[in-house]
Amino acid sequence: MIFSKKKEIVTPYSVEECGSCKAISKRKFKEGDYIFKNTDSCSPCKGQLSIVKIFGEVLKV
Amino acid sequence: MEFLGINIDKLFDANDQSNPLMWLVWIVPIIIFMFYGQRIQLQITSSEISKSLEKLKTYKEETKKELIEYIKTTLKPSTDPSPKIDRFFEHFTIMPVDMDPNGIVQKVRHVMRSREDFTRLQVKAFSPDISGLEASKIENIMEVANTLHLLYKIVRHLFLTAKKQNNFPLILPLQMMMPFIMEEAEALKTAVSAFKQGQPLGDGIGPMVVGKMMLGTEKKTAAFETVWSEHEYEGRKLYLMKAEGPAATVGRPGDALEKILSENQLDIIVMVDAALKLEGEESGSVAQGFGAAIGGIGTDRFQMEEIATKHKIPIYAIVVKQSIKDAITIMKKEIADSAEKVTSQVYEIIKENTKTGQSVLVIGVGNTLGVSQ
Repeated sequence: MIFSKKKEIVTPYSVEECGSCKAISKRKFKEGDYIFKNTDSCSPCKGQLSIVKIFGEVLKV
Repeated sequence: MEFLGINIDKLFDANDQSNPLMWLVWIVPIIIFMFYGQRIQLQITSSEISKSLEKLKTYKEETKKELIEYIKTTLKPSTDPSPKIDRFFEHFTIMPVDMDPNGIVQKVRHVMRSREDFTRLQVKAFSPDISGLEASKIENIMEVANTLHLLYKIVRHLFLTAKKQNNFPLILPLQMMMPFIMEEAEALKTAVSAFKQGQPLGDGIGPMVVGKMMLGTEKKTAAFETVWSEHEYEGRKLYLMKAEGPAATVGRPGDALEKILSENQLDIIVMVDAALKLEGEESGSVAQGFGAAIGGIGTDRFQMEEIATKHKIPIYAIVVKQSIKDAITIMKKEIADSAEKVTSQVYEIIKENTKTGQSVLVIGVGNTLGVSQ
């Protein structure tokens, strides 16, 4: 239908940044994630990764 | 064309002004609409509102079911929480008398805080060992479910009253308000998922900006569920304040400001908050202004304005525009991406409006769910 509303699917993502090499990686949100939480260590430089952003990306279908 | 001795072509000849049947074809609907027009319109409008009301009922029931399921799975209470939840939904709040408005803000604050304390105790009663984070999530979901319950009851009351009285003008304001009510109801329903998973909301952009500035500093309690810390920036002393994350709380910024000011000298206050965008404006756009940027019922804003006026402290505000849905559901990418821009504007305001040696209080206003410091 021309005027029918598109359904929105929101996928949550967490963005991690390494404290030393500043590398940024994006992954799917896991329960227990929160902004500024220290997570794993960075695989190339062994620095501390922390979550800098959590957001939902909208997909219209 | 002849049928039973009647000339059909002549009978429906629209060009023939003297044709009595054509007169009836025009006049009968006019008479019907003159006397029954409002009733017909009432029926059409009623069926539209009835559909929305059904949707609202589904939202209300689904949210309540989600809340009960969440309490059962996370807290594992010994008894069924449903009767308690049902009783909670029927609680009401009587606002103070406003015939004499003198001192009404303190009275409103007292009533609202009593209500918040009651909700907190209700949640604690499900499981005494519940963590602060989990309790705050349940409190927020309870508030969402309660708001949907209230919305449904009010809309149903207005709808049934209009139908009972057969009163078309009474149903018109409801028909006009229905799209806005449904937009809010949909946003509230979607918000439950974010609260359950502890995801930051669009409203959390203020705490996110200030939380980043607070990283690596010593956090002290400023008021109930509110923290503050000290920092240096280009010779200025910065006091940073936000609700204590990652719990789902807005803290008590009014009380916190009073405490910080009782111990320190402040030259300017900078507030960062989310603000409702106008239709056509983009989500995540940043704007600057003056005055206390803080929503809610108005008691905190009143307290902060009064303190700032008494001490002649200018208040600068930075807001991130978003819709009501964006504000209470998981933070959109555009809003999260605006954090760097807001931070640089905070530092710009500090540099432009203070001299070396002066002090600034930066407040991140909003629900700090999923945002620590």
